[in-house]
Order: sequence, then C-alpha cells, then structure tokens
Amino acid sequence: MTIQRQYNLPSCTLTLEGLGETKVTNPAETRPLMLVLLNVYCKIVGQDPPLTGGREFLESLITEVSQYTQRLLSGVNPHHTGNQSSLVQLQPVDGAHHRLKVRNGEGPEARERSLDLTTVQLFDLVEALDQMLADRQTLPNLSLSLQPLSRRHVRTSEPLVKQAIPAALGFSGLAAASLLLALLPAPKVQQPRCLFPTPECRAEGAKEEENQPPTATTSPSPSPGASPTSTPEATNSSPAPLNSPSPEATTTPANSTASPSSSATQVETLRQQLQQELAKSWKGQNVSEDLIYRVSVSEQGVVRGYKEVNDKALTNMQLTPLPSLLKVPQPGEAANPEALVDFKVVFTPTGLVEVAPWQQAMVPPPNENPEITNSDQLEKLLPKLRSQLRDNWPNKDPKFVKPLEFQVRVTADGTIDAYRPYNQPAFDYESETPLPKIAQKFKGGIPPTQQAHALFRVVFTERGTIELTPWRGWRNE
Amino acid sequence: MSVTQLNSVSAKPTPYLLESLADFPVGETGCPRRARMQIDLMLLAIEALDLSGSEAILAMARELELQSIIPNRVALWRMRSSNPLRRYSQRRALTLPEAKALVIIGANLARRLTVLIRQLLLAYQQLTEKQLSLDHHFRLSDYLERFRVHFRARMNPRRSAVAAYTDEKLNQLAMEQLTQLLFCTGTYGMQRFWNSLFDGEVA
Repeated sequence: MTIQRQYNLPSCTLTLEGLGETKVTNPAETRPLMLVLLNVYCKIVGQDPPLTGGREFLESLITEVSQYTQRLLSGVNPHHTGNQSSLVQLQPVDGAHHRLKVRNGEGPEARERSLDLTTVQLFDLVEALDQMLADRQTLPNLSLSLQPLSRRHVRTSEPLVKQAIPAALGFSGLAAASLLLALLPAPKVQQPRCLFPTPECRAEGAKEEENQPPTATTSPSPSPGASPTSTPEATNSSPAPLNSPSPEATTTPANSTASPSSSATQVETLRQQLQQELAKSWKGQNVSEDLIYRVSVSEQGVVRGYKEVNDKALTNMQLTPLPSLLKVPQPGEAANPEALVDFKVVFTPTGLVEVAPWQQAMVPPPNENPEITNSDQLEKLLPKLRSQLRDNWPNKDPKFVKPLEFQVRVTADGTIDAYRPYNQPAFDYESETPLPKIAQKFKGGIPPTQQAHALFRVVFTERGTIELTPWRGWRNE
Repeated sequence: MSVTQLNSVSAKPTPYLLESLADFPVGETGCPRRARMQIDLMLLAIEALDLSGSEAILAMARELELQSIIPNRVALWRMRSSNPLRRYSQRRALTLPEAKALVIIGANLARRLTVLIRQLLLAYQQLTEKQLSLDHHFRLSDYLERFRVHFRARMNPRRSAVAAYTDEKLNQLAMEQLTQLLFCTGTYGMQRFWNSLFDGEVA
C-alpha cells in the first residue's frame, strides 16, 4: 500500500511517497510505518516546479543540507567542500542567500538545476528534513549523523614550498625597494616662512621688493582717524622707505600683469590713502549696523570695483562714498590689465571707516586663540571668579525660580570683564545678579579679544548657590 | 562500600538533559575559544531580542532544572565572562557541562522567540532586496541597536578584535547571531549548533 507523508513548513513542503507495512504494530501510533521510499517532492515557495527524486536524492539532500548548515553556523569550512559526485550541492551566495544545485540523471545528459534560497527558506528545508528524520514512522533506517568537523579536514594541506613562495617574494620585494630607496638623496625639509603677514614677514617681503623699482609710492602722513582694526606696527616697524620722494609712478610692465600686488609697504600706503579718502565723507548717517565691502584698488589708489559683503551694505550702498569714487577703466586702458589690491572696508554707524587688507582680514590671526582652555589654569581662575561673585551677591532669597545661566569672560588675572545672559530667566533677572555691577554686558555674544581670557558658565540657582564650570569643559591637554 | 556511597552522594548528579548533547574531549582547558565566544554572543542576541532576556536565562535554568550548574546570576556571569572578548574576561575554563547548559537554555529561549526571529530575518531580507536601510523596520533596527549597545557595553574595546567592529560590522554580527538562533529553534537545531561549536577542534 502506498503511503504519503507530508512535512509542511511556511516556505517548504516535503512530501514522501512510499510503501509500508499495512498493519500497525505500535499501538500508540495510528499511522502505518513507511519502509520503502518511492518518490520525494520538495516544494520551495516561489521555486517551481518542485524538486523530485528518489532515495539517492533524499539521502544526498539530507547530508548536504545538514553539513552546509553546520558550516554556516560555525563559519569553519573544510579545505575541500562537498563531494563533487553528490547529487545535491549547496554553496553560499552572500550572507543571506544560499545556492542549491541539484543534478538530475547521470553522464553527459545530466541536467543541473540551481535554486537560490534565502536563509529562512534554507531553515525551512532543514527543518522539514529534520522532522522527517525524527519521525519514527517514516523510513526508520534513515538517520542523521551530526558530528563536528575534524581538525584534519580544516587544517590547510598546502605543501611547505608553496607556503614559502609568498614570503620569499615579500622579502625580496622589500630588499629591492630598500636598495632603490637608499640611492635616492634624503629630501631636505624646509620650514615654510611667512605663512601669515607678521611684521617680520612684511619686512622680508619689502627687502625682496628692493631689487625692483618701486611701483607706486605716495607720501601720506599717518591719518589721524586711523581705524582701530588697522595694524599700526606694520607702518612703524617696516624698514621699507615709506615716505620715499619718488613721484607718482606709472605701472611698470613687470607688475602690470594681473598678479595681486603684494608688497607690504605698498599695500599699507594704499590702505591709508583709501582710508583717508573714505573717512572724509562718511559720518555714519542713517545706518544701524556696519556696512562691509570688499574694495579693489589699483596701484594708483583708484577704486576700480567694490562688492558688498553683508545685506545692509547692499541696501545702503548709495549712502557711502564708494559710488562717487569708482572709476571703471576706459575701454582702451582695459587692454593693459593692472594689479589690484583688495581691502576690506567697514563703515560703522559711529562714523568711522575701517580699512584692512582683504587677505589679512579674512585670514584668522595666526597665533593662537588667546582663550585659556588648559584645565590647570582654569582651576586657578575658578576660585577668583567664585569669590568675586560671592562677595557681590548677598545670597538672600533669590526672587527668581529658575536657574540663571550666563556666559562670563574672565581675563588672565581673574577679573570678570564681560558677560552674556544665556537663557531667558538670565535676561529677565539679570539685575538680581552681581554681574551688571562688575562687568560689561554683551547681549548678542561676547566679542573676540586678543587678550588671554577664559570663558566660564555661571549658573545662579534658585536655591541661592552659584555653579561654575569652564565653558568648554575640563580638558587635559 | 561506604566510601563509594559517600562519593556518589557528594558528586552532583548530572542533569539528564545534558545527555542530549554529545561529549567531546576538551581536556583541562575547557571549551575552545570560539565556542566560548559563540555561546556568549548567542545569549547576547537573546538579550537584544527580549527586554527581560537576562532574567529569562536564569528563569529558564530553573525551569530546566539546571540550577546545579547555574545556581545564580554571578555563576552565569562568570561562565559568560569566559568569552575572551569580554571587558572583564575571566581566565577560567568553561567546562563541558556548563557550555551544554548554556546552549540548552539558549536554544530553548530561541524556540520561544521563533516567530520574532523569523519576522526579523524576513524583514532583513526584504529590506536588503529593496536596498533600503535597516532603519525602515522598527523592530529590526531596535534589535540591531540593542545588540550594538550590549556588545559595546560588555566587550573590551581595547581588544583589536572588538575595536574592529564598526556599527556596520556589528549589524552584520547581529544578523549572523539571529541566523544561528533561527537554526537553533529546529528539531535538531540545538545539536547541530552544539556540534558546530567544535568544528575543527576535534581529532
């Protein structure tokens, strides 16, 4: 009598057809015992038609699937995987897919079918086979042999000579490379000089310029309204002939290529010239904030172009003297490109004009952030800051109910010189704290300074205590 | 006669459950290194799947009457700390009965979580097929994140093997653990997993 057994899993159905005993020997079992296998159908969802075969196929499937799964779990592969003559073979495709190859028939007309299984499908296949194997009423003579891979099958069996080749190649390559490199001269490392426009560098630049005829020099006296951002030491310490009596020079051919004019003295002269000219007609009328422009000046000091840097500068352009000073080169002159120097020009609402060379203004000051971040120094400043605040804050029952947070700047000797409320309660109850009495307030943010300073977070709590922490935390560098 | 009796009384009876897993000669050094790592990672994955995973491990030990091997939390911690990657790795051997007990507990917990494990693996497969990031599946990204957090919290970051795990590699490791758990849920899954721990370690 034909018996059918089916093992169902979500993505795999294993059906066995076979012959068995008609009479049930085991009283606890109502199903007859299947002893002889006729056909196997293995249906994997999404892969039609089902895989079919006989006993050889089933045995091969069991062995290969089980061994493959064990390899998948351990990650240990034998040095030769799989039996080439086996009907079923499994190979990994990627982490999540497994290729099942099934050969049908023997010899030259053998057809091979390959299915890609996902991990879950592979598990269902394994599980269907395992359930079948565990079923005592189905093919009890089939059994699963599970054992770990032997060390002998894992160990590499490459001959020693073969293993030595890569090592020998590596050594000889290294030897050859070191020989070749030994022949090359050792490169000299030259420290770059004058990365930033410091006075020494300017002097050096000026010395280099001495070999060439001065291209443009004028003799202005230092302007009385010199802007605060200009660097006075540049004019004082520069040894170049500032007030040389040479007449207004024409552009020399050497410098007339559009290369940016870079002689320090020349730039300084042009800067002063421009500053004076602009300051004459700027009174700071009707503007609420700084107007910033990038202004290009020819070597004769003629304004050749300008461009606004901030929004207000665009809308208030007509208020500045810039449009009246602009002289666009005539079409004939344009054939001779001239060297231009760029300046950053700031018109302040207070009526001042600040002029600085563009490159210098845009390059952050070279040396160092004067801010103190070293933990040791901060630790020394902390008690000074605390005592200043304590002494000025009587600590009577604060009126506020939420902590007031401030950013506070302290100079190197521990004096509080600037502060900024940092949360809303700090704005509202600022007058409760000692800060307005002892330091200057900056609403929008404490402006940068060149002096050594440290920033602290100061919190006045509603319980009447003061909490102090370095603004950037404790650092140990 | 009395001597043999005394001996048999003092020796702890081996729980019969352990006999479902084969014995391998491991000697004084205990289970191999890979087995120790693998078992700990398997339990780590269970803890990442199940919020009360560490409680569940102890509860399962009681349920399966494995208390003679895992009496309490400290014993469990000491066993798992035989994983060489651990932050406080113990230089102690993991004996065969201990390893068996942990694998049996792990496999039993995995069986309880079968539905979730399948869901997550299917979701992973769908997301990778569509080339979507794993964050699209809430439960999956939750598992991966918890696995990563547990791993980083417990493994020694000074070990190069641990430091080499980027988030992406940890996700991969977490998915491998999930696959292992899935295979542990099967009929012979636990035995296969147990044998895989000794692949290449036996004669």
